Amino acid sequence: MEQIEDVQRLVSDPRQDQEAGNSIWTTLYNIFHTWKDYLLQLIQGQQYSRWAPLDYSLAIYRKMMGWDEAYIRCIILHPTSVQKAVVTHKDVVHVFGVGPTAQLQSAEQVDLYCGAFRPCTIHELAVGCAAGIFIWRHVTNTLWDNRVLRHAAHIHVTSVQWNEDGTVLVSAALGSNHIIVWDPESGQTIRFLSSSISFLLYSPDFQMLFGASSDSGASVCYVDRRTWKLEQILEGRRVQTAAWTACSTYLLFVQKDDTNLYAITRNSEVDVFLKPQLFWAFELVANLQTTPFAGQELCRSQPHAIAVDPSNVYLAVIYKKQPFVELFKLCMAKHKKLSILGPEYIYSDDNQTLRTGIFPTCVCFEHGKNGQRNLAIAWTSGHFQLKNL
Amino acid sequence: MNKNMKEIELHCRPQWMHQYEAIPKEIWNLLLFRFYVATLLCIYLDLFFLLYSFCQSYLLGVLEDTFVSTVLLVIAQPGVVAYGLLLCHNHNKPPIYYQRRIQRLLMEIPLKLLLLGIVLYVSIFTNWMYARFITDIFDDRLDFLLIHGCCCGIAYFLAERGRCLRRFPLPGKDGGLDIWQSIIQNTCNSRKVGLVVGTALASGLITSSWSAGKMFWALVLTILVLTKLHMIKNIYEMIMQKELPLALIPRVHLGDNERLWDPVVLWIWRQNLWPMPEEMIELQLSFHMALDTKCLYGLHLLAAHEFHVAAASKCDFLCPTLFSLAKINPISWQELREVIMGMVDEFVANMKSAIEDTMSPDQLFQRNAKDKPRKEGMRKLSATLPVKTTPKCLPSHDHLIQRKQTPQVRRTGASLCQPIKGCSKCGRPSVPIDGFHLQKNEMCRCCNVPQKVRIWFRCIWECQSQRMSTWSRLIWECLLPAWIHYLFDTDPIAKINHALRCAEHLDDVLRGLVRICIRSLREDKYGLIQSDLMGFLSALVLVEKQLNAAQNMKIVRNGRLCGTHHKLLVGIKHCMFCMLDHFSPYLDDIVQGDEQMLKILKCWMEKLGIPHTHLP
Repeated sequence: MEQIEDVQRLVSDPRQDQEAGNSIWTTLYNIFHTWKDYLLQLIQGQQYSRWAPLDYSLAIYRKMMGWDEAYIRCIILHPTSVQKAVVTHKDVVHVFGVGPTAQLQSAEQVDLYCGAFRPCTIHELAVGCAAGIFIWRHVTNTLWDNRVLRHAAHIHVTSVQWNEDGTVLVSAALGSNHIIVWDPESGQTIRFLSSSISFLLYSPDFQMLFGASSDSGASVCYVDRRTWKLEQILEGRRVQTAAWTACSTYLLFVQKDDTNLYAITRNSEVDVFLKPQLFWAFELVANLQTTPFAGQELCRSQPHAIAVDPSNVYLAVIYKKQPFVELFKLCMAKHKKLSILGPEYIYSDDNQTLRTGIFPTCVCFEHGKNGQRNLAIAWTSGHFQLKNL
Repeated sequence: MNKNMKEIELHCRPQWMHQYEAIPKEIWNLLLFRFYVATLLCIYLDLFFLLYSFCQSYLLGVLEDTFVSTVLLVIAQPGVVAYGLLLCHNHNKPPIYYQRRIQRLLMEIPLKLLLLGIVLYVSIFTNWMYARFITDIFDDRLDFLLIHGCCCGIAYFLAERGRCLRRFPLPGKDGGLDIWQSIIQNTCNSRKVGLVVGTALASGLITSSWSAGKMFWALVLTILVLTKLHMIKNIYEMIMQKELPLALIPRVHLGDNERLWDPVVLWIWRQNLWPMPEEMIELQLSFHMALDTKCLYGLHLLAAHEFHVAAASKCDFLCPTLFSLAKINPISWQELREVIMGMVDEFVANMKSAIEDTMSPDQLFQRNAKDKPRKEGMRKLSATLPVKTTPKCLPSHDHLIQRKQTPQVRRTGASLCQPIKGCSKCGRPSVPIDGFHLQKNEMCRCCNVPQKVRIWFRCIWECQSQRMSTWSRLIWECLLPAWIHYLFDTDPIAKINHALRCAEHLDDVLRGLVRICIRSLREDKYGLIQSDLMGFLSALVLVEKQLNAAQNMKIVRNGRLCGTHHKLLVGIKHCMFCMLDHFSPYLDDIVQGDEQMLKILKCWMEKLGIPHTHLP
């Protein structure tokens, strides 16, 4: 009897109906909100999704760049003047060269990865870090002002590049799905280029922007007025480091866990068309592991970074855990393959430390005027060396 | 044919848009063509829905639905056209000078009300039309559709246009995002959707027609209507801010053979690889024409931006054309140079005038005294100045001279001709003459009671008004609330801000000019612009001087400069750095003995950190 009454109550009890109605509405409400949030995430969050977990990307990047043992992580040179900056492992940017020296640091500025001086001005530089991009501006004699360019998914910025006249800033971040083009004055994003890139490099003529991923592949973006056209040129290759020759003809690069030096160059189709399609030719330049020197073949470890002289004369290579910088001469003749000649070795000139146990962490050529060539080298001991060539 | 074309041209330019009479025909055709294309694209989505509705009705055998939908579509489109027209008008309207904020509010209210009206018109009819396309659940609830349409329109207006009427942004700034991504992002902003859905819920409750199904379709309708409104704005923005077909051609108007639909015909011909008809001319604008069209402010800014991009881009033909034409026809460069230098001169003149108007009388006096050249040597001992010239329209004065009465006249200021009121009895001036100081015995002393009473009342009134002005100032400053001050206080540097806003294009123009100068180092084989470099450097220095003067006025008058000032200042620093960095080895030759200019440039180089030890 009680069971029958319970069943009858279940069927005809108005309170039960009311509760059923409320639960249906609650369910509908929850479904509505879930779908709304999902739709918004789909629209807004699609560009924020990562192609790889951030911790994994960070670990690979830090190992690739030798972050743990580097005192000086990055050398930043001004494109036209003698202004210089170095980024240390304590997340401080030391600026020197023109005017009084300065140490730029901020509580938010952690895990500094890269930097670039702004062209057409002496007092401004952009620095990529975990929070985004810090733009430091020299206000008075000793005062530097900063502002931060942020984007929700663009954290751990690993590469920043200015265009020729400093009106546009391009950045790439670890694990991000996009390269972002910024307007530095307003701090707004101009463009999103869909590409998983962690390393950016403008060609010396600023017509192309090379981008490489630490995991796979490389692309080139053709910059022309309002269009930014991406083209993948290397598939499946893990690029460790790259550098353009001064004439923007060749792009030299080294792959991860590889000792070969490669070059890619643009060629146009046989001229039948008014606007021939460009295609990229790939060639092996040299095996850096066993380059002959003084009649002997010395074995080296994997190349860590390369740099090309702005006057197209020298190529500098640093190897992992090798206490020297190897200097080659570039040989670029028309209708001939690119080659490198006669290595020269540069050791640390710091008398206070022994040569063994210290290694170069980063290297770049200074944009010297009047025929001067200087090679800037940062060592693991914290010594900054400027070698005149 | 030519008469018909002229009639069409006159017909196309409405008579009430008198400020656009100075627009060249090529620019007018280009703008009209773009406007028509944008309008057609806006209608495209509705046509798609109409086609779907037509197919559905055909299959179901009910044609009256399609007829009603078609009527609604036709009624809604004038609203779309009016919205686009208003956006374009706002974009090309030049900056207007307002001394007080209340003036700006009062002038902008009609435009904002018109905009709100048009947005509501579009949203209501679009809402009604889309409701018919997607569901029949609202067929008997026209009041709900009306309220819902109004809510969508108001939510869109408040979010997009409520506070200030903005122009279209320049290409590359905020316009680089994919248009659909931009539309979807703006549409699905959770606050707007929440506002509209909340209002739809409330209206549903009021009209007692609330149900879960209706709420769902109301949400779908909201998204569609907001998408449509955003789409209209984005499409007009994208089309009107497209790249201009600029070329370095002489400023000669093309023939009357050019028709509005020529670009479409040319496009079709090109796609099919057909030979181009002889009478078809591809529309091209000369740089000079585009940069000189001041009445269309938005187009002026776009032309300046395009000029900068063309000068900086290595793929563009501006610089190669400029430098290669040097030997054949240097007029193109001269015209371009004159237009640019004209802009600089206009800016400098406007700023000088605005700064003088902003200065207080004391500052003006000090500035004039400072500018006045110091007199060298001994001054003359005589205290009185001789009467130099007497205005011819002073018969009484001539009468005095005729009577051989030579008054001790000391000129104190104005020397304008004015009639003198002489006394009928004694003939002497009965009222003081401006600019002349007459002794007591030279003035009329006849008894004139009404005049004396008038003078007495005037003196009392002046004393009282001075006292009143003191009290009124106290009341104005202390007792009135802050919003009254905000609205009614005179902006002390309003004129300077107006002059700066009118010169916003100067940033891009000067940057483009500097790019041409830098490229001339490598590409100018004939030395075309070599002789003009000094003029360009002087222009940059002058512009920077005016900007610094504006900065000083801002501090002195406690005002606030607009964002254009900072933009121009950054631009000038950029230009000076580029010029001095590239031309520092040749500065001696460029300056050619002008010591003062060399000194100024050396100061600049020191400030910018550019080495200058090689200079004398």
